[in-house]
Amino acid sequence: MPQLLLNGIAIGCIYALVSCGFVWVYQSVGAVNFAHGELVMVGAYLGVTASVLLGWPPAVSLVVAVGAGALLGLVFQRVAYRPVRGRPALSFIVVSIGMSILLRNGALAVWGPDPVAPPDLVGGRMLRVGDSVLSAHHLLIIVVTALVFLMQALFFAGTRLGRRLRATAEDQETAQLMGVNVRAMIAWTFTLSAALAALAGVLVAPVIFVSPDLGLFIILKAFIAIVIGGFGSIAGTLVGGVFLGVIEVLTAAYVSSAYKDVVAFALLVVVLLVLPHGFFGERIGERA
Amino acid sequence: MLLLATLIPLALAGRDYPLFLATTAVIHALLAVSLDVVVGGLGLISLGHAALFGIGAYLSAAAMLGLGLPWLLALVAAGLGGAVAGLVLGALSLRIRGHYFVLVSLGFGEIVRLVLLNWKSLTRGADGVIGIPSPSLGGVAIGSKLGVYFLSLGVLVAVIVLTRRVRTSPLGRAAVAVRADEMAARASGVSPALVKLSALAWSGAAAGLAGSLYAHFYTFISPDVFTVDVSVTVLVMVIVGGAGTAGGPLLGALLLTVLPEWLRPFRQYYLIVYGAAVVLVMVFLPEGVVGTLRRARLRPRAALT
Repeated sequence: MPQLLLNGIAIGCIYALVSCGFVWVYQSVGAVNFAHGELVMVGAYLGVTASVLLGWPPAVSLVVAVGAGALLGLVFQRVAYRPVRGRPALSFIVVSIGMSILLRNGALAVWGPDPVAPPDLVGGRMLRVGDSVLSAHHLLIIVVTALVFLMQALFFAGTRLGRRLRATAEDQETAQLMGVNVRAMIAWTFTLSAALAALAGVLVAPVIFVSPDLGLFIILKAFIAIVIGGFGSIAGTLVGGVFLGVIEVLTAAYVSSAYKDVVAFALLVVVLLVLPHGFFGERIGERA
Repeated sequence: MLLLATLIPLALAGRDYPLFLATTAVIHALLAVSLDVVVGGLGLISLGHAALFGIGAYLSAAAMLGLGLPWLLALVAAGLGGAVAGLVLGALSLRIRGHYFVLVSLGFGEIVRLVLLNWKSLTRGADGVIGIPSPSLGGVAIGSKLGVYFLSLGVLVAVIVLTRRVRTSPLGRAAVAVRADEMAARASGVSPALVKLSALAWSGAAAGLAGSLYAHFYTFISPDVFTVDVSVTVLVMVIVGGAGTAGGPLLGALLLTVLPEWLRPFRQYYLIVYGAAVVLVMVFLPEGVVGTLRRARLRPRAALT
């Protein structure tokens, strides 16, 4: 049971990390990035390339993958977001769908269709606590996620860049008038969001196999986590992600693993109908 | 266009592969036209179209194989099933708007696919349904590829004609008003709920018909056919061709059915090009090919100077 709960919380933390980066972009530029899952997938592959193909130590691979992911986010922003900025929100939705097709099939061409599972970052160690055996990698995921959420809270509250990013998210025109370089802030937002996506990708790679379809799988789950937590809320992504992860693991263990995903999507519809604000969110249906 | 659609397949009679491709293009066109009722008509982006398509296909197969109904009734059942599923999606769209609806429609599509995959006693799960009979009219089976092609073309033309009719009716004009400004439309006595529900029901019915045609043409269906990829492809057809234009969805469906064949030598890279094309079209031709052409024709002077 403790092992089960730990697995659920760990996978939930991954959903939370993915959702958090997605919500950053949504909050600051009002854009729904359907290619966010593909940024996670490419991050996972970059980690696999560094650690398995090049044989670098896990910690180095992690840093390199997150750095390369951040760079990809910057390019993504320049190529996919900048040209349609100022057009209706649906334009960027369609462009990001195109980017997700491009990235998924690009990954297929580069890394092939066979799923790969890299070794985890702590050498597959297990910890014995009382009667139960806990995987150290799962614990690592939880610790890293806790650190990320703590750091981002401090970053947005206490640093100059963080406050300028928040000002941009609040009102781009006013921020511009106050001397904030809005273009640069948008670029920063996409870069940080993609770096977080790459981090989630590297962390999740040893837990579930990495394949070009990983992005689609993970973004669907992140959407559910975001809706449960409440659209647009950062704290909501953590609560929604962990809640979803635990529910999934319990369904798989006590009902049927085939219906794990059905339960997850049913949860999405039920939450939208019964509790449309999620746990913490803005009112659904107001923003178009 | 209709003349070409009639003559070319006649010339191809006897050559199976081009005819097979032409029928697939017609089924895609039916899907694109039905999705455009929602995208072009209401300005809503739906990523759940594969579910409506799949429900039609499974219902039609079940009606003929399970209940022994004639094909025409199976087609009607598929249309009704699609309409009911469309109404469910429509009811969701009343509560949830904008990009939330994109997510919810995506979730809806996934739920339907997972149910098709896991409700094994009804759908035979991942094995799929094999040996679906060919269509028949009045007890005469239409076994030939050419026959199925013209049957599909007939359904497509009927759907297009009906959709045009509705578009110029009071209900269609109400849809234009709702799309432009929901609040103002409501103030003028238009019911946005009625407009949205009827548009999604009609869109679902047409997608259900496409599902039925697909099932009896391919004679095999499985949950793998009705994935998010189909929803995305059909959406891309509508957007690339031009949402809300008369010929746009048709052109988009034709292009995206034939293009993969032309790009066959680059098979592995085709989908990369395809993704890039979606981005480029959206950036440079935001109104799609047909939409942009129409705009260019409307103001030729401005383009010259």
